[in-house]
Amino acid sequence: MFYRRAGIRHTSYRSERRLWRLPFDRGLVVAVLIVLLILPLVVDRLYLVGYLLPWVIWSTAALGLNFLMGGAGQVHLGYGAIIAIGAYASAHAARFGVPFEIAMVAGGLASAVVGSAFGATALRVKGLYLAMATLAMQSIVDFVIIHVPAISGGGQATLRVPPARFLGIDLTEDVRSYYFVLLVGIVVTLFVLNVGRSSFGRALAAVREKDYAAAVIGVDSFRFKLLAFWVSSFIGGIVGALLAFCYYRAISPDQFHLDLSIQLVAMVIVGGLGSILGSFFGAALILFAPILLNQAVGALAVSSGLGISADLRAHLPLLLYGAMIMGFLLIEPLGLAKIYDNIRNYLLVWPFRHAPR
Amino acid sequence: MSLLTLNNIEVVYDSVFLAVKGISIEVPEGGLVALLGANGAGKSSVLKAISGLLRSERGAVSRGQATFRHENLLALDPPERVRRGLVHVLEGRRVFEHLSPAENLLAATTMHRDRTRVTRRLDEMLTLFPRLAERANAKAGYLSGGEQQMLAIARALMTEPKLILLDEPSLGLAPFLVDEIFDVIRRINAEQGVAVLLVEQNAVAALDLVQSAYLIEQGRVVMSGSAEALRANPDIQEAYLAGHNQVDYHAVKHYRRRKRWLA
Amino acid sequence: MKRRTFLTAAGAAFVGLQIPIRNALADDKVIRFAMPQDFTRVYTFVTVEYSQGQRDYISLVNAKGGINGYQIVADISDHGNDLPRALEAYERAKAQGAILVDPLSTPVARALVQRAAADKINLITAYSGRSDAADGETFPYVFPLSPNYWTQAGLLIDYFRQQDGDLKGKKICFVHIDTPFGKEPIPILEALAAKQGFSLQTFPYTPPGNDQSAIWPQVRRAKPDWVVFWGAAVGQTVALTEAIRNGIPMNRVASSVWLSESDMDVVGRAQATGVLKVEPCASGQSPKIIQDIIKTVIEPAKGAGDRAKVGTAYYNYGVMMAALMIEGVRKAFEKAPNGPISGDWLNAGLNAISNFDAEGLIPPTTVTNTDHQGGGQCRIARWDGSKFVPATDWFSANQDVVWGEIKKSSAEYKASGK
Repeated sequence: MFYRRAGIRHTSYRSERRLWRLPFDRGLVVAVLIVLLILPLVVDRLYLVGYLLPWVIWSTAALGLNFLMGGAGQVHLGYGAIIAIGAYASAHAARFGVPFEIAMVAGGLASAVVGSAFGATALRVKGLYLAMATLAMQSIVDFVIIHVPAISGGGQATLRVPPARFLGIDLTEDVRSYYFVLLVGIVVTLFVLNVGRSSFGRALAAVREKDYAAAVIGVDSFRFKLLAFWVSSFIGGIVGALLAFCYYRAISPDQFHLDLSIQLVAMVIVGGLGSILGSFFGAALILFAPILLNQAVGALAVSSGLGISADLRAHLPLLLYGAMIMGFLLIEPLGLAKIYDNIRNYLLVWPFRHAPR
Repeated sequence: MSLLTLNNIEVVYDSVFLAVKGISIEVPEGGLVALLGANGAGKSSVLKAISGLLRSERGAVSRGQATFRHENLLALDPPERVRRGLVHVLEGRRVFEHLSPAENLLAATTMHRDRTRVTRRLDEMLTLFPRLAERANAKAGYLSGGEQQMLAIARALMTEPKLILLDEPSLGLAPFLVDEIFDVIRRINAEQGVAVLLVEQNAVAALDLVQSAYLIEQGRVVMSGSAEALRANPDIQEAYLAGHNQVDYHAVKHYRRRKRWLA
Repeated sequence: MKRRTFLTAAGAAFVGLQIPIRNALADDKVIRFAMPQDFTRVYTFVTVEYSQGQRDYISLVNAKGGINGYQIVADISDHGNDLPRALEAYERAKAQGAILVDPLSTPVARALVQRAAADKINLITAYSGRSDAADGETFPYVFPLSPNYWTQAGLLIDYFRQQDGDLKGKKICFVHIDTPFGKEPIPILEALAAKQGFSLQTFPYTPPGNDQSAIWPQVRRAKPDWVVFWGAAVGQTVALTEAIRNGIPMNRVASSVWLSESDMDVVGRAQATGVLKVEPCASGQSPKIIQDIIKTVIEPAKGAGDRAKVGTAYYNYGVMMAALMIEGVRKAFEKAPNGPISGDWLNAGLNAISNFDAEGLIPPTTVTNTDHQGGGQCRIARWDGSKFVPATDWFSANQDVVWGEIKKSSAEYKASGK
């Protein structure tokens, strides 16, 4: 009903190749962007630092992982380690006096090199075996970071990052951090969106669907898998730098453990494998559902006056959280993005019930 | 006395795309019925609606009734439908590649507790398809296309069905093998009394085999009747049995006959 | 349409959740503490009892009319040891006007150090966080208020010296979890080994330590005079079980503050008889303050949790920490009776705690601008099969070595941010 169209009608290739082909979608993207730009000026700092900032960072990370998992079909259970490499490489570079702009790219490159080196060995195997190989990568990187004091920062294993300046703008202040993170997030999103309609993206899709069928049509599947690892790891490294400089400001190894990898995989799957929108939805759900459920249960416990024990009060949200994820996946196995897509499709053909095939 | 009745069945994929727009079909007890139609007409969707396999492809029957032996079919899940005597042979064979043909056949007998009956049935199948007996211990993945198709049909017959749904059994097979497969179909129908609902591209062969047929276009039944009637219909001849009548191309004006049922 | 109803409900729930936060600000005569702690992930072994002790003590104070007519409000929430959640909880606490945060988690404490300093919110890092936070000059807003792991290691070594007279030529084995936390005491132990002439052998086990069967036969073969095991949660009970299995005499085995009655249940109360631990405060129900809690809070059924847990080691740690925080509030009122109540104000109070012993629950504790550890006094307790009984009086030892390490580490933090 909002979309006002009956079938996509394009009069030129140019209009058909646009990123968002429907005027309504374009409007929506612009509206969301404007909201994201205005929000930090309107809302309390709590919501900026507690919600917006981590959401944009984690969404960017989920985009990077989704590029690999959804775009090229390669499972990765060690993305937390990729982010760690980016964080530590950029932090150490900055501590040596390298300007932040370069340190961030250096972090990305370090992640890309290590990530695709592991990718190359891991690519001999597929599916579950690849999952195990990337899991091993996570353990190895964790181990190295913890056991090399030069990386982790000695006995206290905490590394404070120097204040960052991006093109002369001081990023230690939260609102500016947020705008910078948002900028990076937008760049990554546009990149991933555009890859989808390039030959690179089509080659990746071919590799994902059936790698020997891709080989038959002249797509070097090994090369493209490796490239996917490279790009995805680079994004992971950049996210690591963002986490270190704009959010945590002091990094320690336990911030990048397997938990983070699993969290990211959950974001990608709950959001929707291969969906760009899904990365944003998934990050929001996985990050905030535990917090909000906790507050809801806490508030309920207080207002109802029931003597809910602290133990139950802490575990009930986890139970609900698990049930919620299962519920969403039962409603729509293809993730949150698909739920949105179903609603959109419904509105697209409204007032009719179905579109002709 | 009809075995299977579909009444105004509608199939929707992904909650949005309407693939089958109200189809009514009847298969009599022991009958041999074909669904004809071009690619993408919705024939396979109809079969999947009958066997209940739409769900895994994000499809659903959104309207209509289906009864099988006086029972509401739509309320049953796919394995239950097989137990009631309705079996589907998928397009493109789908044999269990890593099992031997014999193991493939045994895999289809989970509903039978009686072991002697299973053994007897297995022997019957191996006599019906001597080629499978020859290669009983090879891996199914290494069988030829025709052998795999036979295996798929034999596997379906192991469930002792009342009705077998065959989706393009002649796909990708040499004419010689197509004859052989069709011969088998005819024999199952005649000797064991199994009703057959056949989806075919090869309209010539199909109309020779079946008693009646439905012609499906764009998700609707556009014509139905006995095999002779359909064979005689000039539209069918032009569109599906192309060149059945010898035409002197020098004599005709060159135009393509319009399918009369299209609006 | 069900889907739409669901979305609307979810949206409404989200908006609804945001409202109570704002309301709370309106209350006056309230001092707000925030206790976002880990009830569900890594620190589960301690948090429930610790938090119960804290809340019961705060209930006791409030039941007696609060401090200067101010009620203490403790916001308990679960951060699951997950940093984004912890940071959200911290920001929320700040927005609500909390002047003290007790996260009881090393990663969270580390991540909050800089923020707390910038926001002037007092960060309590008992038995967690950075050991060098004892240096109040470098970390003015971080308060361990409890003996750090270096002090605990120093105390254990001194106890061994007291028992054996001299440690020259003795062998001490240090079995630890292979994480920064587990490796932390090693510099102190090495320094003391050089000073007192004993030999030190370290045995790391892989986290989380549910399999240590390869380590302990090596320990047995090393024929140590003393064994110190260092870990947390499951690692502790597994270590103790393996020590028993390998026939290491229990009265030569010792650990940090992380041993509790429930660990003994896991290992076997009788088998573990003799094992030593560092006690930062008295355990059991006999201390007067615990009796007060039982009379005023537990018996009228206003307790925060299971009655059977009252008086356990970790429960008393919670009481200890809450008592120190409230003593800080009391001192703050002494210094500036009219407030205004702020992080700064409480900071002055916490730094003025002097010779406070919580009616015999804890050793006399003095916190100063330079020493946020509180003197580093503890006692060594021995498990007698049913409870921990003190083997020594409160004492402090080897503080010179410990402070050398603290200063070295905090200087490095100042210089390089490590």
